[in-house]
Amino acid sequence: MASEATSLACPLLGTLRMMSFARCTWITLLAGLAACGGTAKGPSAPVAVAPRLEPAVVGQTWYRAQSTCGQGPYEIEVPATGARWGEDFELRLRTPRRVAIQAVILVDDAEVVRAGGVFDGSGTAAGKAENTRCVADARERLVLGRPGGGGGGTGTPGTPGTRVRIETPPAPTGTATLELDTSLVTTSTSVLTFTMRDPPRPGARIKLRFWSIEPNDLLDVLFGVARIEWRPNVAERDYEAHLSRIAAEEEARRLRMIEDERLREEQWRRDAQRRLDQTNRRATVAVTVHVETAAELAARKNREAEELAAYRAEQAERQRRALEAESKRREADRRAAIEAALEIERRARRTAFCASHAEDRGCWGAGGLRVHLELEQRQRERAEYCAAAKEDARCWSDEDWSRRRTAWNTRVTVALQPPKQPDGPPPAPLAEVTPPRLSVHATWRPGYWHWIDGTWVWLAGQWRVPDEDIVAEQTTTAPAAPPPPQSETATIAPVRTAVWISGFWQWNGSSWVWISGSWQLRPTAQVTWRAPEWRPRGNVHVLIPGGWIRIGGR
Amino acid sequence: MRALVTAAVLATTSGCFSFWGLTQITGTQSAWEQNVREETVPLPGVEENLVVTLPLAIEYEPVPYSSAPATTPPAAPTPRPFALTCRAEQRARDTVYRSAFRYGSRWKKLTAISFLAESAIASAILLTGDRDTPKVQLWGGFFAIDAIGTAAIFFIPRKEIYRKDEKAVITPLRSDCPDGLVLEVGGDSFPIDAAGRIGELGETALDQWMAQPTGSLQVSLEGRTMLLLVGANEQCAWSRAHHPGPGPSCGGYAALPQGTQGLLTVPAGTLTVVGAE
Repeated sequence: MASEATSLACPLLGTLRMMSFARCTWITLLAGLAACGGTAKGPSAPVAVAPRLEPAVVGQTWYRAQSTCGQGPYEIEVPATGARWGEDFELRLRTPRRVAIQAVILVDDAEVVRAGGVFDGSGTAAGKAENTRCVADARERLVLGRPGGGGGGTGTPGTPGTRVRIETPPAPTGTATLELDTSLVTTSTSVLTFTMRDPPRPGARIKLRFWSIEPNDLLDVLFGVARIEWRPNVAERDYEAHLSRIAAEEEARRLRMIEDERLREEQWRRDAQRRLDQTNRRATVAVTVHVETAAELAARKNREAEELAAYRAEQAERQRRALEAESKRREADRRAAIEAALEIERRARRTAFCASHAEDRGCWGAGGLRVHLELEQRQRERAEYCAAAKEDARCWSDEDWSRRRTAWNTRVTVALQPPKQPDGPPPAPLAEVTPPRLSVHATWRPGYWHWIDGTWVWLAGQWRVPDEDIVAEQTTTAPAAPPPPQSETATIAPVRTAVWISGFWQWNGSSWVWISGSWQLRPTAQVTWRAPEWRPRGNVHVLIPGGWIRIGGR
Repeated sequence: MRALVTAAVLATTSGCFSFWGLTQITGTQSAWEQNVREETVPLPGVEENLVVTLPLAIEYEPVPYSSAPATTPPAAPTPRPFALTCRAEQRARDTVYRSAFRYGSRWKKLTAISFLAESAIASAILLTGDRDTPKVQLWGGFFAIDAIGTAAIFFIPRKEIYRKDEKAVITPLRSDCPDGLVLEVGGDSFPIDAAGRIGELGETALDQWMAQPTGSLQVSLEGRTMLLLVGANEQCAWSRAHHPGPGPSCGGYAALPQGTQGLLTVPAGTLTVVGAE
């Protein structure tokens, strides 16, 4: 059984790029087991199963990043086989810590699905990626992330750090390297899935591209690509028959619905016709059956006469009320007109009176006409001033205030919005030459692309030397004394508080390498930089590493 | 009883003699003015100020109050992101021209009603109460005398007031930080955004500077600068807030400042411009 499954699945798996045979055997075993419905327990009575499609993992490949700190972009290409019943492509992740991943799947270079977030071993997670080891800390970023930051530029890239700023982020022209990993992965989490179905596209190039804005700590992190085929759980012929049956049932149901609709419509028409017929019949009966007697005729005429009289009375009453209302309205209008005319007259008389009585306090208020005119003059002065002094807040109207407050509040709202994140992956990482290790326990933080102010900035790699190494002088040895120091010119300080650390010679085991000078920030105020030096010890020279020492002692 | 009397006094002394006397003493006679007309003419010479405060202590988000008994230990308060605060204002002087009547018709009505009320109260107290008790004598006498005084001030002739005063005006403008505001940390410039933030690099540089001040710490806007004065106390406050633990010894917590601020005076109109202008 297993060998049959292997022979069936391996050609499919062979299409996967860089798939190892060892891996293939594992997958095939799993796929075979899955296809067989698990471990067989010998012959048993056939059980009727509902035909359906079931997923079968036909290929799963795991990769690890070449660098244990990386941000990508990584890319894995998987050709589609055009499986008849559909196939899924899934990016999986095995991680012992939180990592941030942005991922897209492209079919023939067209993006079809995108996802992103922070993941841990159990799936999506809250919080930030655990990547302290791989990102420059705030002090390093302050030195590297501003103009002038970085090393002296003597050609040794990477230490303590050079800064490359690109104004227009280019499209990723290259990708970071992934290596195949053959370890058995038992638990992993899904990052992104794409289902290709209807129609199958054999040969389509499926690319899974993933990256992160900041480098992730990728130690023991594996990325997996799974290709899953959907297959019927019965023989294909039976499944096709099942589908045909379903289609036929569907068609029959559809036809039944159409027939039901037609019958309902016919019934409705019949009902409508019946109602119409009944109405016509009633009208005919009224005409033919009703025969009035003379008394009835007289009574009817009397009733009609009474009704007519009542109607006329009501009309007359309504007309009378309307006339009365109209009359009242006219009277009110007339009175209002008279009042208005009187008011105008009163005002005119008052105006005339006030004009001839400059001292009348009732007309002009306190101070009489003189003060009144003076206040009028002050009002004009204010208007003239405000017309000329638009910037003076004392002159602003409510509308002016509202407009400005809206504009100022909007500025704060905009400033508080989260910074714009990049749409796509960072450029491919720049090639770095790791300089010789500076101390026994020094760790290398590789360079990476840092997203700042809407652009990518390359922050070169750096050795991080633990203080303990400096104290214990745990360092490297060289067979001879180093050459004389190179002359360096300090670049412009990225910040004024930065201190220029001169370059020095380092022994890489076979030759001397010049480590460029750089700008650094003091970790605390009470420290000073002690330059590294090579001291003869017996027949070798020992590097006493440079470091920050307390003023007045270690 | 005493409360009732106090309430009665308060209710009836409005416009009465004693209150009038009080306004005469305190110089608030304008309370009796009516038919007031005021015109305010702004004087030229507007001074525009920007007050920038650099917080030294860490501020925390308020923790919502819960009356339910706590079953779990309270969560650690969330620190607010570091941000400077800006406050812009205009200072100027206005000339206020005011014309009004004092002791006009309203005054007459008020004093007349007060006189009647106070007379009635005095009569009620003196006629119904035990006139031998000091309390009745005191209150009855007070209202009686006040009523007489009120009757006298009823006859104060109407006065016309025309006054010109000059007064200082402070108009608060805005609380966002204006465009172009920059924090200079030892000669390095870090732009301050509208919310007062200086970014991670700026904060790191500021932290470095606080540990070892090199050069000056100042805020600049359109070529004008102001120093943010940071002394040993400010450094100590910063250090305690941002680097808790053993550090340089400094004054007690109570003495440490919460922030340091500076005032930048700019030409009028600098802080009032909005995008469309």
